[in-house]
Amino acid sequence: MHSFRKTAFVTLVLLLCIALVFSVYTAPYFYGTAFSYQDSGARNALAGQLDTLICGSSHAFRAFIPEQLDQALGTNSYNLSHSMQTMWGRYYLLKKELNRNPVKTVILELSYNALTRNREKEGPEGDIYELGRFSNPLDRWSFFFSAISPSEYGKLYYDTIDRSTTAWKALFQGTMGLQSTRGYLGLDPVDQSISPEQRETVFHSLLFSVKQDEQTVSYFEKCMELCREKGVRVLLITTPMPEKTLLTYDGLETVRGWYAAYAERYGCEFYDFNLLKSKTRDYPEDTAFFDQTHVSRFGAQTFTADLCTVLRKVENGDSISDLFYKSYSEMEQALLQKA
Amino acid sequence: MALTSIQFLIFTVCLLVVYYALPKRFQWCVLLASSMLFYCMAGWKNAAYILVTAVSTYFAARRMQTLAERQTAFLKANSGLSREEKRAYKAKIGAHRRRLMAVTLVLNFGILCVFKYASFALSQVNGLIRLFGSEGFSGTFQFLVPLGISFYTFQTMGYLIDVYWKKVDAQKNFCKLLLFVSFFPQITQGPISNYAQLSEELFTPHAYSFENYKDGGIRMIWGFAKKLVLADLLAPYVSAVFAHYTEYAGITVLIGAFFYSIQIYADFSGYMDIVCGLCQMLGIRLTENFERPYFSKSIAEYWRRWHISLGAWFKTYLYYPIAVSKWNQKLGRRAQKRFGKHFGQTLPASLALVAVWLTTGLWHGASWGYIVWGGVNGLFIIFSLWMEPVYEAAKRRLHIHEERWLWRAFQTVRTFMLVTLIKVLPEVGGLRNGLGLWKRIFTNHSIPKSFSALLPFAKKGELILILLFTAALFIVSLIQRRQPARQWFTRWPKVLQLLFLAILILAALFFGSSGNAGGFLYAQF
Repeated sequence: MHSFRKTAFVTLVLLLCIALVFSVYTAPYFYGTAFSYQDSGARNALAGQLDTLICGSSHAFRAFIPEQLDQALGTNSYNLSHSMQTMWGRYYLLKKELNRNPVKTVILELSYNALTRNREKEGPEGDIYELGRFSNPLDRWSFFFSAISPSEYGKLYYDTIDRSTTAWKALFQGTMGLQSTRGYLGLDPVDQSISPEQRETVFHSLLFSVKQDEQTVSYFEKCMELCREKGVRVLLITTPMPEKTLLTYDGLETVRGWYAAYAERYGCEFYDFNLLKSKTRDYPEDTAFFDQTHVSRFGAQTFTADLCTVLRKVENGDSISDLFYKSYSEMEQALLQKA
Repeated sequence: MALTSIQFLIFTVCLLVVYYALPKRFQWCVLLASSMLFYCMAGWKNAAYILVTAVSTYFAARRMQTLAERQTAFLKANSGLSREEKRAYKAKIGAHRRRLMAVTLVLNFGILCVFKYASFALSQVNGLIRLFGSEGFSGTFQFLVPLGISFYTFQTMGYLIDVYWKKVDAQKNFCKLLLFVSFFPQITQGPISNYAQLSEELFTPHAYSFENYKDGGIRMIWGFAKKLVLADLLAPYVSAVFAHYTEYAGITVLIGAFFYSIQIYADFSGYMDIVCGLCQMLGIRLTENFERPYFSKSIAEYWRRWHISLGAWFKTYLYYPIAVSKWNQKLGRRAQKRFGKHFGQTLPASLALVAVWLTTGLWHGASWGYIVWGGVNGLFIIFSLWMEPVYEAAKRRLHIHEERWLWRAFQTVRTFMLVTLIKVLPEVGGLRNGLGLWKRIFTNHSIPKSFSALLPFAKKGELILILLFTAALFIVSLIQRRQPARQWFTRWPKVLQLLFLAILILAALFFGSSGNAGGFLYAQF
C-alpha cells in the first residue's frame, strides 16, 4: 500500500511539474501580443464605446479599415475579423461584443465561401486563432469546449507550443506588440493582372463550391437572429476580388443569390462589391490586390472609401442601383469586352 | 494501436491498474487478455494466423514431449535390450519427432513466406520467364500481412526447436503458450525472446514495486522522446535526401546517410525502451536488443550489439546447427588436412555465416536490396575471419596496441562509417538506387558553398534540436560504459529529474502531435 501511495504521489508531482513547465513556456503567448489576432487588450480598452462592428474572415480582416470608416461616417468601429474565422467563432465574439458595446451597426462579410466552408476539410485552425482572442480564461475555456473536439487536442497542443516559441522569440527581439489597428491589418500588393487572351482561356474553368455547410449556415442564422434581437442594423457585404478570380470561377451568381435571399428574409442590406461598376477603374489589378481573394492595403483604402460612399448615399435616400451591375453575367460580359 | 498513440497510453494505464489489482495468480491471464485485445484491434482476422501458429506449435511440442518421455520410459523399462535395438528405437522416435518438427516448421515458415515473399518470388519467376521471351504470369499477390508475423513466427519456432532439442519442456497449458506467442509489447518489433527466459518472467507472479514503476516509467519516457523527437524529426530529411540523391552533393548525401543511421537507431531503440519500460512496470524483464551498437569496433561486434535477439536466434537455430553439422565438420577436417588449420576452422564457420546472412537479409525484406545488404554484411564478417592472421601480423609489425584509445577510436569510426553505408543500400527504393547513392557519395566531390546548399532541406531550429538530442544520446551511451544510465540519472536532484522528465514529455507530445509522427521503422519487417 505504501508503494501505491508513493506511486500516486510521485505521479501527481510529475503532472504538476508538467503543468508548471507548460505554463511558464506558454506565458508569453497567452499574455503577450505576438500575433495580430491577440487583440483582446485593444477590444477591452474600447469596450463600452463601439457602435459599429465588422465580422468576417481574412477577406474582411484585410479589407475594412475602421479608422477610415470612422473618419468618413463618424462612427466608432472595430474589425472583429481574423483569418479563417469560422461562423461560430464570429457568433461567439459578436455576442460578447454586442453585450458590452452600444452597437448600432454590424457588418457581416460574406465571401465566396462564407457558407460553404467545411470544418472537416479545414481543420481547427480558425478556432485556434479564436482562442487567442480571449483574455478571460473563462471565455477561452468555454469556447475551447464548445468548438474544439478531442480529436483536435493534439493539433491544438502543437499549435500552442509552436506559437509560444514564436512569442518567446518576439519577447527576446522586442517585437511583441499588436500589429493590427482596430482589428485591421493591411497586405502589400501583388500583381493580379490578366491579359485579354487569358480572359477567354480561363473563363469559368473552375468552380467555387456551392454546397452549403449545415453547421456554418446554422451559426450564420444565429448571428442574424442575434442582431435582430439586439435591434442592430445588419449590412451583408462581399469584398472585391481581382478580375482573374471573377472570370475563372463559376458559381458566384449562385452564392450571391443565397446572400440576396438572406437579406430579403432578415430585412437587411446586401452589397456585393465585385459588381461595383467603377471597380475596373478604381481597383488596378497590379496594386489593389494581394492574391486571388484578398485586397491589398491600397485596395482596402479604396474599398472602405467606396463602402462609405454607398452608405452615405443610402442614408441620404439616393439611389445606388446605377453603381452596381445587376448580376455576375452582366459584370463578366463587361470584363470580357474590356480591351 | 500505435505505441505512440494516446489510446496506447490509456491502454497501458488500464492494464497496470488491472494487473496489480487482481490476485497475482491471474496476472498472466490479464497479460493474455491484453495481448489478444491489442492484436485484435489491429484487425481481428489477423488473430486467425497467430492462432494457427499457437495451435500447431502447441500440439507438435506436446507430441514431441510425449514421444521423448515415452522413449525415456521405454528404455528404462527395457534396459536389457541390445545396443542396436536401443539405437533403432531411438532412431524411430527421433525420426517421428523430426517429422513433427519439420511439418510444423514448414507450415509456419510457409505462412510467413507466402505473406512476405510470394510477390517477390512471382516477380522473379516472371523476370526469368520474360528472359526466354514469354509473357509470364499476370497479376500480383496482395496480402495484408498479419501484425508481427516475422517476430512471433521466429519466436515460436525457436520454442519448438528448443522442445525438440529437449532444452525446455513443452508447455502443457495452451493459454500460457498463446501468451508466449502473442505477448503484445514485443509482437510488432521484438525482441525475439527464448522460451526459457520469457516464460519465467511471464508466468511468475510479480509484486508491485515502486522502483519498477519509476525505472520503467523513466525508460518509457526516454523511449518516447527518442522516437517522437529525434527519429521523427530526422525522417523528413532522410526521405528528402534518399528521394532526390542525384540532385545533392556527395557530402550532403553522406550526411543524409548519417542521419538515417541516427534515425533508425533512435526509432528502434526508442521502441525497445518503451516496451522494456512497460514490461519493467509489470515486473517483467525482456531481453535487451541494443548495447551501444555504434561504439562497435567491427561489423561482427556491431551485430552482437544491434538487434541482439535476432542475432541470437540466428546463431542458435541456424548458425550452430550448420557450423557443427556432420557434413560441415567433415568438410572442415578435409580442408584442414589440405590447406592448414586456419582454413579448416574458418571454412565451416564461413558456410554457416553465408546461410545466416542471406537469411537475415531476406528476413528484413523481400527484395534484392535486402539480400545484397545481408550478403555484404556477411562478406565483411567472413572476410575478417579469413584475414585475422594477416591483421594480427600487421598489428604486430606496426606496433598497434589494441587498447590504445586512438586505435579504438579509429576502429569505432571506421565501423560506424561502414555500417552506415551498408545500411542505406536497401532503403533507397531498390538495389539500383542504393548503388546509385553509393556512387553519388564516392564520386561527387563538389563542396556546397553555404550551409543552406549543404543541407538545402534543413530548418535551423530543427537541426539544432537534432544535434542536441544526438549529443545527449552520445553522452548517455558514454555513461552506460560504466553504469546504467538510469542509475546516473536518479542521482540528480529530484527537482531536476522531474523538470527534465516534464520537458521530455512535453517535447514528445509536441512532436508526436505535429502530424509528422510516423510508425516505427522495424514494424515493416
